[in-house]
Amino acid sequence: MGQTSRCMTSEPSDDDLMAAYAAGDATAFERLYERHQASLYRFVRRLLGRALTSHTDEVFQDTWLRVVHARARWQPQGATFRTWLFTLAQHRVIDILRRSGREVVLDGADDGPPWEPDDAAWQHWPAPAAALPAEELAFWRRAGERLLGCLEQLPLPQRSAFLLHHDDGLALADVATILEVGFETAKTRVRYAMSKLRTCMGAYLGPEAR
Amino acid sequence: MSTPHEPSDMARDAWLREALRHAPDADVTPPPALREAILRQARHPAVRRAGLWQRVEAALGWLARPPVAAGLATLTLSTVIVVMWRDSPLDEAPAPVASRLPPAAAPAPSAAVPVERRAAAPKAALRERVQKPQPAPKAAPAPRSEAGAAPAQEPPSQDAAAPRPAPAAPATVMAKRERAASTEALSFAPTVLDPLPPVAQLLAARGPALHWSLGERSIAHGSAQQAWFEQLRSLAAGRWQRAPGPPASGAPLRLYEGDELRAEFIVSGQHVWWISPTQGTWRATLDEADAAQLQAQPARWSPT
Repeated sequence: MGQTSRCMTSEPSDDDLMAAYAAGDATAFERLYERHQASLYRFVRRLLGRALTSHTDEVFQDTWLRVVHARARWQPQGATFRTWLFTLAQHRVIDILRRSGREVVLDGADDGPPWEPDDAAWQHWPAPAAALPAEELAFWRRAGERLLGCLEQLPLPQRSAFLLHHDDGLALADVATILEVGFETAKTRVRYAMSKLRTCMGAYLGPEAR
Repeated sequence: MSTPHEPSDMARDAWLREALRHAPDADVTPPPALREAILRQARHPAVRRAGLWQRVEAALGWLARPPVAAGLATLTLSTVIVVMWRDSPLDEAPAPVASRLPPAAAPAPSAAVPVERRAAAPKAALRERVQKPQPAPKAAPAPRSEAGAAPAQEPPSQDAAAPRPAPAAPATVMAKRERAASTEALSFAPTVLDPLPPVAQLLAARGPALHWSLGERSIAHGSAQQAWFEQLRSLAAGRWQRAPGPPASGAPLRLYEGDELRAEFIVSGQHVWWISPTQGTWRATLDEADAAQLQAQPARWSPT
């Protein structure tokens, strides 16, 4: 996505910038920061949930400082910088959750097949579009607010998988890398997350709720 | 409605994505102060220095890998061995008498070069060492392995006979000093185990055609002469040194093949000389009793 556009404009890749920073170029780090700070901050905040949102800054800062201190050891072997960055954040979030006394279940397995909605399930929802009328914008804002609540009901592994896949736009292979699981496991987690979120969102934003 | 990301990927739910895009926290960004703190850390000089150090650490880590470390250890050990080998004559060579080496001794064997650099030491110590060159490796003060090579380079001194002679008359002492003056340079020549195989081969091959000459007497080569020669080889083994020339005194015992002089032996004092038309002059320092026995035997040979 972003990598493609950067290639077309001959901008240095994340790997190149990280290598430059490891060689002492501080401006390369600033460029990396600007590229990924918004998505990483959002990922950390959503992964922590509302109850622990106060730790967002701490996790965000720790993640970047780990990048700073690990730059000499970092090598782009099998994982992009972005994948590595989100892996660091994921680990730090798990630390925070455990420190807060919350049970952290990392397998994220569910019994039974995930629910797959038919087309009728979303027939009363407005179609996603780049430019929305004001009334639909209000609808989606309420949907978004509700989705955050639904996300918090997901086990951490499914929440992570869904956010990485749907919000950050990472491919399933990268999601699997970040979560340090196999491809099929990551895929299953995303499917379960989508199923639960659709159920949660459908119930809240059904035709009667509009 | 779903939007696949790539062929191998899983389709995304467009409604859920839209909901995420419009969530209240969709546009939340890190506080500016947090941004500045992170960038300040990234630009901190200590971090840059640490970066350099980390690269040094990485290099050291590479050097610490077993194959690399083994190679370096081998190289270091080889260097140490070479340095020790090169320095050994300077540090561990036996005591010198080089200051008394006459200029004429310059053509002496090359071993004289490192010996000349040796530190001064009592001559008695040198005598102790050159008297018994064979067991010298154990007795030598040098602990390193080069000590084993020292006997081969150390020349026996003319004064190095084992039972010390009784005090001699002044004339005898003077004679000894003269001989010493003429042969002192020999003490820097390397010792050789046995240079006499050519003579032995000649005796074995051409014995009946050979005869000895002592003064006015001519003696055919026989068993007595062969025994004398074998005794000489045995007693002088390991003590031979190149000599600048024959001694000034002493009765020569010459070996002829027909009219051709093939070898000449002189036993004088504690030394025996072998003068060869082709091999040069050699000298061996013997025990006094052995030298006397070698000197007395030819006088008893019956002339032919």
